[in-house]
Amino acid sequence: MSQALDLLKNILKEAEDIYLRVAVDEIKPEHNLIDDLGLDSLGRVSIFHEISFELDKEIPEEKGVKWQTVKDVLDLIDEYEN
Amino acid sequence: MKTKLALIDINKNEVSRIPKSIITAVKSSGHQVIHIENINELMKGLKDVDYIVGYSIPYTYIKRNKNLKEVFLLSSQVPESFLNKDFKVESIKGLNAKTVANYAFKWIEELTLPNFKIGVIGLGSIGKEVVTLCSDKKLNVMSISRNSEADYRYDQYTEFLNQVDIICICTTLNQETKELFTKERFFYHLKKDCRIINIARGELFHETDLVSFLSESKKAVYYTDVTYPEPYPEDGALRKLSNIKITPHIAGFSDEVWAAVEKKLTEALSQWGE
Repeated sequence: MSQALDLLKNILKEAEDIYLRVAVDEIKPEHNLIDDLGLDSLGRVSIFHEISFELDKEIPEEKGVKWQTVKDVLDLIDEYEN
Repeated sequence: MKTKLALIDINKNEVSRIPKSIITAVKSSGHQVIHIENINELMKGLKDVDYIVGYSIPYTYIKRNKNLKEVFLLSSQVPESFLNKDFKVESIKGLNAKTVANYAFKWIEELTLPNFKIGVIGLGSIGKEVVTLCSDKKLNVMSISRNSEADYRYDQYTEFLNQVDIICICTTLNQETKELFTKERFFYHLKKDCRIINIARGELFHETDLVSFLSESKKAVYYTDVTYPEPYPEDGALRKLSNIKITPHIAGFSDEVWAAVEKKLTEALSQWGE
């Protein structure tokens, strides 16, 4: 999971126009995407697509729709990275 | 071959949603129009279009589109990420400055008291209008900006913040301006009963710092037409406070503004693809 977290952090550092309530390096798996990170729906979908591009995989969009926490994102990265 | 144009129409807010007249103008422009009404259609819809009309979106959605020639934003602020790229960017900058400024000025009039000092942060088209409105009413107003016309420069920021009773934030959002509104640079230097008006962007503030300041300084007030995210959730932390007012990003919209936007857009549409 720590590799997935590093990948996510890199994506967030590179992403333009995505603003978070916490510093990228302070993101934790238990953080809620909306309540803790302050991500809006455009931001969440944007991150989903960046992950797809980064992993060079066609990931079904419904996989990202149910994301609630950072851990949900990391689980997706782990699933498709391997 | 027809050029491809994407119309991003995902904003369903009553006041700020794109009027039917503009949708009609786009669809009858002679371009092949992809009408995007859902966030999930964005990535596919924007993939290889030549032109885009709509509110701004994260750069991720367009950064892999090598065909893109121009973006017409239905907002006055252009995201920093859209600058210095291979496509042109047009916006409605200036068209709604008076409307937004008037909106902010109503709040200033509501909150001001005799001998109050009003500070305007940012002296672009909206900031200048706010200063003019205040001056016309003989209010004691001062401005701070990189603009040489401002009363204060940013190296005098603390001195500026220390003395103002009402702050009206009119800056654009970029990495530089975001740093102006941290706890250390902003909240520490405010009067405890400062009235803060935000007509710029919700992302300028770290919400935790803002909530902390307003919770500790019960006489301070925060009036904002912008939040992050938008729409602001019903159970958002700001809504639990009694010294705030939130309106849903409506300051810049009126029938007159939309008519001016439609005129500018129609000109652009006729030139695209030439």
